[in-house]
Amino acid sequence: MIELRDLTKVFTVDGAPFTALDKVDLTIQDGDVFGVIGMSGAGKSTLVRCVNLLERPTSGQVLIDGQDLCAMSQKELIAQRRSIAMIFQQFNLLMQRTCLKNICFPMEIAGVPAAQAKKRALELLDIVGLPDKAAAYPAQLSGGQKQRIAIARALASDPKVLMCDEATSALDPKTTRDILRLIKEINRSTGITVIVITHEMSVIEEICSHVAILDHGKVAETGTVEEVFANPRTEAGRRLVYPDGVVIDQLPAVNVIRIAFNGGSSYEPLIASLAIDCGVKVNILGADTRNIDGKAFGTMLLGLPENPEEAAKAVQYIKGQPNVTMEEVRDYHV
Amino acid sequence: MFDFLSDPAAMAEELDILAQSLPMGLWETIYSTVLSTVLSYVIGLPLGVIMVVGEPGGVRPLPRGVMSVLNTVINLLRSVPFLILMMMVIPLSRLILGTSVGTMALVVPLVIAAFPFVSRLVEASLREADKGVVEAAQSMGCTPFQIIWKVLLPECLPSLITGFTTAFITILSYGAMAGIIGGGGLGAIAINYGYYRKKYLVMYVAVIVLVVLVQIFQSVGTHFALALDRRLSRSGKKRARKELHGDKAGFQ
Repeated sequence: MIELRDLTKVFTVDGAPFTALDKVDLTIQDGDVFGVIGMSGAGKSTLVRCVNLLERPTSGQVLIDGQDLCAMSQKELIAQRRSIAMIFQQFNLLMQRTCLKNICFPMEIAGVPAAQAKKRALELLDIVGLPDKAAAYPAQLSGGQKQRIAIARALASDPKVLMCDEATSALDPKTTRDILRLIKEINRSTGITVIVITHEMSVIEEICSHVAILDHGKVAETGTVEEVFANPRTEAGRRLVYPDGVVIDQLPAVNVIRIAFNGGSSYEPLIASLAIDCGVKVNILGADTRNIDGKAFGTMLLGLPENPEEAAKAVQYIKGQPNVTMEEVRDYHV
Repeated sequence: MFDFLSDPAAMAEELDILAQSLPMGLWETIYSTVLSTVLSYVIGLPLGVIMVVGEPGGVRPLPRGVMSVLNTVINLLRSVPFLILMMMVIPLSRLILGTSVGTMALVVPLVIAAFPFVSRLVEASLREADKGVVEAAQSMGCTPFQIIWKVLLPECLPSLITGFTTAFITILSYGAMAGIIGGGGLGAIAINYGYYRKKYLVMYVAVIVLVVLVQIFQSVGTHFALALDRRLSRSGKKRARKELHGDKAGFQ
């Protein structure tokens, strides 16, 4: 279990203090896939770097299985870091080493005998689906392949935690999905705890069980992905779950609802059914939906008819649908 | 100046001098250059590493005082012109070697002039290392020493080799200057026979041999730097080969 207690990090930027993390409290259970989402500059990267103390927090505690990392000696900390692996947006592979040697690297520095390290590295190459790239250099690989090698390298030290710092942000959508699937798969098969840092809600929806929304260095909301996604309680949360490009201020004043698809069948024509079954015409104001393995995820903003009876009918109908949640969008014009 | 072309006797005399002194001069030049380069790296490589890892925010930060002392020493030594430095270290050569003339005595001023230069070359190479890779190594629990030994130096190897080639050639050409103070080698032949005794054929041949040496070492250095660079594709290597042929001239 990873617990962050009252974690604060203050940087000095041009002589003035800047609070990157402000009293962050988070608990991450073993085996979770925990997402941390926020806009750029919200403090996400600082947060993960505090978990393995690449950044030393200004105050607060980082507890891993009850042990406080900040109180550890350099030697103990180095040992602890070997159980917290990390992958990065820019992959950060050693360019002068072959893929096999890259994967051997964490074992090499931990003093694992070379033959044993090589055997394990070959297994890992298999796990990440690149058994033929042992002798290739990273420069010869595509972005997705590089990240697979980075994942294999991260797993080489048999870590308890895998931290992904914007690990898919440099990849195209299809490769992103493949990499996320691989991470999910590894989480399922090994029970490793995964912390996912991202600015994309789709990444959170795709693999995370829990999520924390970080806003200006503070945790705005935290909970299961379904909870937070269906009913964001804060402004920061809403901004993240609303479809891309929707400006809240430009929405009609009344009768706007947001519906969230939480993995129901993507073959259900919800809006068409609404029109046919209830005879209510709704206006799609914005939508951001995805089909993941035949399941619908994402969100949609609907403008309901002004007639209160018709609107109520539509709300009733949507509430009756499985795997769809809805909330009213508050009037922002007052 | 080109009298030897019309005077067979003078030509024969000069060829005779060349036959007698050139092989020895070539040998002295090569071994003094190799020895000086090796010793300069023995001091300059660790110093260059310290300049990078020891700065604030580096892999193993050192006290600011230590860093500024090292920085000042390097800058001071680099600002003394080599010709003056050679004279200044004559007492030191006597102290270490018991003599201030000969090829060995030449190694002392060469090393003193070259190691600060080498440390800056090493520093510049290591600064090219990807910060993200260093961070990744730290996140895996690397000690500072492991980061230097297994990340910084191997990742910067091509650049370090390019720097080594530059250092080697600079030391070679500076070593040739030392003929003036009684050092040996091709430079001494060019100055003593060619310039002082007006045997211009000897001078030209000695200089041409130096030029050929520089060409050979530069080509070998560039070849290894590119062959060991795993970041480049084949076409990238061709492009880089063209770009690498611009050279610094001197320790300063």
